[in-house]
Amino acid sequence: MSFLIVERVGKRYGTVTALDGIDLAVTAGSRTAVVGPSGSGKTTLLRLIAGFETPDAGRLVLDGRVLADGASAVPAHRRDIGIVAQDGALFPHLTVADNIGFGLDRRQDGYETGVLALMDSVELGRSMAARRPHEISGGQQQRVALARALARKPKLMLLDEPFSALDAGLRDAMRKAVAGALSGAGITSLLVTHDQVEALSFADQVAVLQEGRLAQVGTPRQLYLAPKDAQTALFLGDAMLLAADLGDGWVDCAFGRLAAETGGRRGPGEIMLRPDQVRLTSAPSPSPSGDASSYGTVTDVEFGGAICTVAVSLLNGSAHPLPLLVRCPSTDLPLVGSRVQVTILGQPHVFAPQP
Amino acid sequence: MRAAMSGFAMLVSLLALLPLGFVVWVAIEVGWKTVLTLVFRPRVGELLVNTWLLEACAIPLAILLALTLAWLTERTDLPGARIWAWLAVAPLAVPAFVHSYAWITLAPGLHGLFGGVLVSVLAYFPFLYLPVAAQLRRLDPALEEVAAALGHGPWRVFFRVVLPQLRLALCGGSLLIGLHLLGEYGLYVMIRFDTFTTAIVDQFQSTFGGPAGNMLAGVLVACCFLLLGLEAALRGTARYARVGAGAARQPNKVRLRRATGPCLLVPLLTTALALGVPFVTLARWLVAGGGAVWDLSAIGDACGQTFGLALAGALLTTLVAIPMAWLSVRAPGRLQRALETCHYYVGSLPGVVVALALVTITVRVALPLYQTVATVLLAYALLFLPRTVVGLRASMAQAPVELERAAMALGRSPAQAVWQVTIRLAAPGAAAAMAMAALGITTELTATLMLAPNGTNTLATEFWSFTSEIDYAAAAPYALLMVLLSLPMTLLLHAQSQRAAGR
Repeated sequence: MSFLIVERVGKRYGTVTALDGIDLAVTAGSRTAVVGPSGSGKTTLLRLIAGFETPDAGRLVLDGRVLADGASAVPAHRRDIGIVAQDGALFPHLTVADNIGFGLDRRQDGYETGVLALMDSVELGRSMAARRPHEISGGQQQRVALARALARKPKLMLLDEPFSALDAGLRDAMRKAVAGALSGAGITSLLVTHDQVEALSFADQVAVLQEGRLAQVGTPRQLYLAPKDAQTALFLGDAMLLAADLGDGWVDCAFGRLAAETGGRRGPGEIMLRPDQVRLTSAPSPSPSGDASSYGTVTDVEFGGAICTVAVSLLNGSAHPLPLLVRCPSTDLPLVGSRVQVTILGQPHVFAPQP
Repeated sequence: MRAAMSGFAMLVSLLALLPLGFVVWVAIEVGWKTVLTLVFRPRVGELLVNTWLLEACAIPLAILLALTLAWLTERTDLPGARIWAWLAVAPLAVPAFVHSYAWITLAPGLHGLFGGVLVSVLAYFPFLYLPVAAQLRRLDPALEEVAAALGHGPWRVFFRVVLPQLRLALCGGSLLIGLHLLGEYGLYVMIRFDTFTTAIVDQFQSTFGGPAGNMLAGVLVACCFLLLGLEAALRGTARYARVGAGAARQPNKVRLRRATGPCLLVPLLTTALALGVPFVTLARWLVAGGGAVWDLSAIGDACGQTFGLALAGALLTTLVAIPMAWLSVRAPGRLQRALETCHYYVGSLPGVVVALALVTITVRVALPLYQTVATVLLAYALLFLPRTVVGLRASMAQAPVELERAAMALGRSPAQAVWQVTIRLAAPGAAAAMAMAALGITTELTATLMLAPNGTNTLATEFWSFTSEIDYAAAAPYALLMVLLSLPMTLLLHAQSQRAAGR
C-alpha cells in the first residue's frame, strides 16, 4: 500500500526542465532516499512534496489525500509534512526550547514536558533548552531541527541533505540517531542527498535521479549490485566495466569465464563488477599454472587505512590493458611487483542492452 | 600613535560632552529649587504631552506604512517594484520644513497634532523603509518555509518569524525618526504645533538663554536619552544573523493576482502625498512667481555661503572623526567604547540643544567666538559627527593593518604611515562620509539660525525668512535648490542599502 504517490510530476523553470515525469511510490513507515548529482532536481522534488513550490504537471498524493494535481495545490502549512533543512534553518530569535515548541500550541497542557521529551528523543541534553541556536554546535542544531519537525508528528518527514554540513564522524552518528528517532516514531521519511553511501545505508528504498528523470528505483542492494546502466553503476560507487561475451549462464571476460545470469542473451555485452567482489591472494612466482587470466602483477599500492587500493595489471594484458583497481584490507597488503591471484566473488552483473 | 589618537579622540569626546555638560551646569547654577519650579509647570507638561503624542502617533503609522511598502516592493510581484522602491526613499530629498511648506500651501487650515503627524510620517517614513526593505531582502526564506511546514499559515508566519527578524531594523529606524521628531523645528512652526524644540527657540528669541529655555532644553535632552534607552531595551541582545553556512536562497515572490490593483494604491498614494504634493506646490509657486523670484544675486550669494559652510563643516567633521574611527578599527577596547559612545550620543541631540549650549558657553566664557563662523562649524561638527565616524570606520576597516606596519618598516613614522596608507586607502569612504555631512549641513536650519553671524544667508535660512514673511513664491527657488542638492544623498543611501543586501 503506497503512502506517498508521486505521479508523472514535472516542473520547469523558464526553459529549463528541472523534473520530467517523475513516478515514485513510498510505503508507509519506510525510509526512502532520493540520490543524484547536484543539479539533478532532487531538491526541487523535495520542495514540490513539501509544498514550497507547485508542480506544472502530475499529481502528489499523501495517505489518500491529493496534495497537488497540476497547478492546484494544498499550501505547505496544511500538508502535515515535516522538513529538516540542510543547515537546520533554526529561528535565530528563539531559544532551543522555543524552536522545538514552535509548531506546538503553547497553551496546551504538557507543552513543556512535550518539548523536553522531544529533546530526549533526539538525544539532546536538557541543559540546552535555554540556549540560542548560534550557541550550540552544528550537530546539535540538526538535532533541534529534527525535534522541531517531529513535534507535530508529521505523516511524512523530508530530510534535505541534513548531514552534509557535519563532519564525517558526526555524520554517521547523526544518521543513526535520525533513523532511530524516525523509526521510533513510526514516521515515513524521504531523504534527499548527493552522498550515495548515505543513501544506501539510510534507506529501504533508493531512487536515483539524473537530469530531472528517475534513472532507477529499488532496494539499496538491488541498485548497488544490479544497476540499470553504467552511469547509475558509477554514481553509486566504484565499478569495473568490462566488455564480455555472453553465453548460457556464463560470460567470457578479462577474468576468464565467470558464471553469470545472462537472461538468455548471447553475443557481445557489457558487465559490471564492484571492486569489493575481487579478492587478491599471493601466488607463486614466476609461472602460474592454469588460466593466465586470473593472475596479475601488482603495479601500485595506495595505503588508505581500513581500505587500501591495489592496482593490478593482468598477465594476459591484451584482454584488459588498464590496471585493475582492487579494494583490499590493510593487513597482508601485497608488495609492488609481486604476483597475485585474482578471485571473483559472486557473479558479475550483466547490463541490459541499451535501447 | 595609539596614545596620540586616544588623546585627540578624548578631546573630541570632551567637545561632544559640552551640550550635556551645559545642561548639568545650568541646573547646578540655578539651583535645585528653581529647576523644580521651571520643570514642573503646566507649560512643560503641555509640551511633554504634545511631544509624546506626536511620537506615539507618528512612529507606529510610519512603521505600518514602511512595513507595507517594504513588503510590497521586496516580497511581491507588484508591477514596477524597483521604481516604487526608489520613490519610497525619494521623500528624504525633500527637507522636512519644505514638506510642511508644501502642505500648508495646499491646505492652509492644516495645523495641530493631525497636521504634525501627517507631515512627519510623510517626511520621515523612508528612515524606516530603508532598513526594513534591506532586512526583508536578506531574510533566509528557508525559515519561512520551515514555519509553514510546521503548520503555520501565511499571517502567523509573518508575525512569528518575519516580524521578529525585522526587530533590529524597526527599532533602529524608529529611533532615528523619534530623534528627528524631537529635534525638528521648521516643520512644526509652519504647521503650528508646539514641541520642545519650537518652544526653546521661542524662549531663546524672547529671553536669550534664560533659565526657562535652558531647562526646557534639559527636559528635551532627557527625552532623547529616554528614546535611546527605550530603543536599547527593545532591541535586546538577541542575535538575528542567519545560523548555518552557505548563502541564503532568493525568496519566492508572493503573487498578488487580483489584489494587484488595491496593492498598487499604497505606493501610488504614498508617492502622491510624499512627493507629488511638494513638487506640485513648488511648481505652482515657481510658475506664480515667474522670473521675478529668481533674484540671482541673492540666490547666488546664498548658494555660495551654503557651499562654503557645508564644505568647511564637512571637512572639520571628517577631520575630527579620524582619531575615533582609527581607534575603533585598530585598537578596540573599553576606553575606545566609552569614547565612541560620546561621539555617537551627540549626534542624537537636537540641533537646538547644541546651539543653545554653544551660545551660552561662548557668551559666558569665550565671547570673541560668539556668533562667529567657528562656532557654527563646531555645531555642525558635533551634529554630524556620527555620520562621518561610521563612514570612516567602515572604509578604514578595508585597509589592513599589515600595510601600515609595512610602511613603518620602510621608514615612515607612525603618523605618516596612517596618513599615507590608511587614510589614503580610506579616501573614497571618507569622501562619501564628507558628502553625507555636507548635505546634512546644506539643509540644517535650527543651529544655523541661532548661531550664525549676522549677514549669514544660507539656502535654508533664506527659505525660512521668506516663508516667515509668507512670501511663499520667493521661497520656492531656495526650496527647489535644497531638494536638488539633497537628491545625491538620497541616491547614495539607496545604493548603500542595496549593496548591503548584496545586490
